[in-house]
Amino acid sequence: MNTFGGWLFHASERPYIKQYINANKHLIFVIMIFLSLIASGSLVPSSLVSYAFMAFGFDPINAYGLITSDRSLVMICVCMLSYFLPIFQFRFLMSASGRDLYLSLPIKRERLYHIHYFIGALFMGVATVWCGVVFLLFHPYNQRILVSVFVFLLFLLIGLCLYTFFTFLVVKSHSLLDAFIICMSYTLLSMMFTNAFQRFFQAGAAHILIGNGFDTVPSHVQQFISLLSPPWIMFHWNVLFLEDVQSHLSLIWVIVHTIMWMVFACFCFVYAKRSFVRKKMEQRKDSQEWVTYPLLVPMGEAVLILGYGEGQLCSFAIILLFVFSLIAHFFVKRKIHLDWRMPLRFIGFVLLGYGLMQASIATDFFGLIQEIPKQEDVEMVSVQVFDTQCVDCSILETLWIQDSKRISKVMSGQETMMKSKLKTMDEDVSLIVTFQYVYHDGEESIRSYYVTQEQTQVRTVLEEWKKLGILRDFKGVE
Amino acid sequence: MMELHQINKCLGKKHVLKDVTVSIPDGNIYGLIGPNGAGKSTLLRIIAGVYRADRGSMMLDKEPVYDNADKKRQVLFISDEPFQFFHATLKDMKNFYASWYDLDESLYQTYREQFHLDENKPLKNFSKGMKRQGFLIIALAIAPRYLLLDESFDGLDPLMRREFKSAITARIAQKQMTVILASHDIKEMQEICDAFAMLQDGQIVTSGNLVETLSQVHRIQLAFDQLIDPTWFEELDLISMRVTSKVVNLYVRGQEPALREYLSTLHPLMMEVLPVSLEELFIQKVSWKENVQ
Repeated sequence: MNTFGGWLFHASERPYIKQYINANKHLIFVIMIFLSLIASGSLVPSSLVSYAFMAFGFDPINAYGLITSDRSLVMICVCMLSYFLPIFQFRFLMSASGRDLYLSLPIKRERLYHIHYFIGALFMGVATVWCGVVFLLFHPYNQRILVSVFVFLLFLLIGLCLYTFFTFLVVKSHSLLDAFIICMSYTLLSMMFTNAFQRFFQAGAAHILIGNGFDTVPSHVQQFISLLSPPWIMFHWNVLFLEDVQSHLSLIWVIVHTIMWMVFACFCFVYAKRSFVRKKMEQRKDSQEWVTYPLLVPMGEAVLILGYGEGQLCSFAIILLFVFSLIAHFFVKRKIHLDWRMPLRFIGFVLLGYGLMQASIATDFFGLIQEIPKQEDVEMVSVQVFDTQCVDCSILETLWIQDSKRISKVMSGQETMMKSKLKTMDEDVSLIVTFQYVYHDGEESIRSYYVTQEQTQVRTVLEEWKKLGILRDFKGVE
Repeated sequence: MMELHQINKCLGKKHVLKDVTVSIPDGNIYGLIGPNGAGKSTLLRIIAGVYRADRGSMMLDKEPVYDNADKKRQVLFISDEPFQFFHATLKDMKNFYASWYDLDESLYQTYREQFHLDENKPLKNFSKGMKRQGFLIIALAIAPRYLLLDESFDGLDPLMRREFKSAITARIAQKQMTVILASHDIKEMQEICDAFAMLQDGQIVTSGNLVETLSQVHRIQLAFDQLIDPTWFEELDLISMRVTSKVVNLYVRGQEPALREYLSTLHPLMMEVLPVSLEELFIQKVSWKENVQ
């Protein structure tokens, strides 16, 4: 077949493509100017970017750190393009008159899908490359130019994956509002899931440690969950070459997730095309395809119940979530009508959250929470002893202990405290002993125990720590 | 030749088209007549390839139209609310259509001047009637083999209607174009159409050549000196009958001489045979069907 633009477009489609670009040239011009300003760093001051960057825990102290934080602005632009472009490209599906016009045109539906998908994808490619060129012109850190080029190419690759995923969702939507909400919800859902898991984990940890401290989600689990979201994959690629964060990130996981999203995008492309070709254009106005609200609302409910219900059967948060679920249910149905399945589903999720919490407590969060950590994971530890009955001599703590011999002594001392601990703070409590661990991956955990000085084994441990210089002078022990 | 055979279509739970079978000859103005919700627009969308029939076939020269680019190139659909791009001008829309169909640019300019339309003014600033005029002149400049117009004369003033009707007639003569018009304005359809199909609740209640059909239908008023027995008229091909003590109004199909001869045998005091308009035929068909139901 006579083609132009390689295998992408047929020659007979050329007039339409020319007309399409011509009709949108003003918009393209405005977007390119905006992207140029962003990429050159003229629109958003570097100090603001650095501040925002630090909020994620990265300190752009060196020149390369600064360039990384500036580059993340381009990353945000790529994400925004991948979000808005599918809606723009397939907006004709969102109105009856648009469907009447486009689907009566003399073109097979499959080709119509191809044209609109690839025009959007090409625009994303051109825009990202343009951003990259402008960025490098305005940030001439030549020693890292290849890294920047590589990162921009990865931005484009992951941006295209995201664009394809959103195209799939837009094709499944039946109105402009639904398309915006559904794409946005999927974007937020991965963040909500990460946050919900952290909250659920910490609630579980509080149960397991029974007031003896807190724990954070292990970094490998946290990284695995966060990589479910393509913007986070981009973010990881962006900072992966920063020397001070390399140790926190696992390159292999980032590569695996990138490949996973590429494979997923291929499926999305095929299924979006199939959905477009088979789409019944006379379908109702509200989006009821399984991948839209029917999947999104229960997933959102489950994530919220997991994160904010914290494994309880009844709480103010659960009642509030039920009200939110009801509102979502009415919005999806576009009428105030209660389907009996909705409360049943909600109760099911609450019971599931409760069951999961009980299972987590019973299994020390499936082995993720260890009251006494493995010594090989520990970078350093400090101990703090607080005497509740001595007003003048209250606190004594150690400096950070990093040598393995004394770390081992601290940990065996923690074992003693564990065995001697009192479960509540009553009048017998005279000491609160707190252990703060910092691990090799930068994560931290804290364990606190209420004990009495009268217990011989506690006194022995404190004496031993004092001899080894783990504890400095402490009047309460004298 | 366009042939629709046993077309069925459901929209949600509503059965919108029920076994619609129609043949549309080339070079005609074909009217789809029916009240709102009768299924006219749905039928046009099936012909245009926007919808796919749940059952039945829609053939153009014995080939299906749905998702067939070659056949769809011969069909142009102007819906009741034509789509316009954001801030688009008439020129933008013309360029859009010209990228898909063969558009006669000089004819487009002639029409544009004739109807005093500014092609550089955004369509959002056009009145409803002007917008329709704009899309109609694009359609006429394209003059596809089949032009589908859904309520396209709505919003046009009588003068413009007349001008467009004559422009359409002229294009049919030049290009052997077939125009399929959907409207509930029956008077207007009678003025312009050569053939028609009357839709009621998704079914075709009557169809055919307009002149032939109307020449076959008569309104007959009879007066008798005694009370009327409806069984007297059972042998007639009745469309509707209204009896008021000794007077009866019949809408009946058949040849006028034969009808006169038969009715004379009933010895009426008075017999008047009148021609029937399309609107009358429609009203009688619909009301009779509803009464029967």
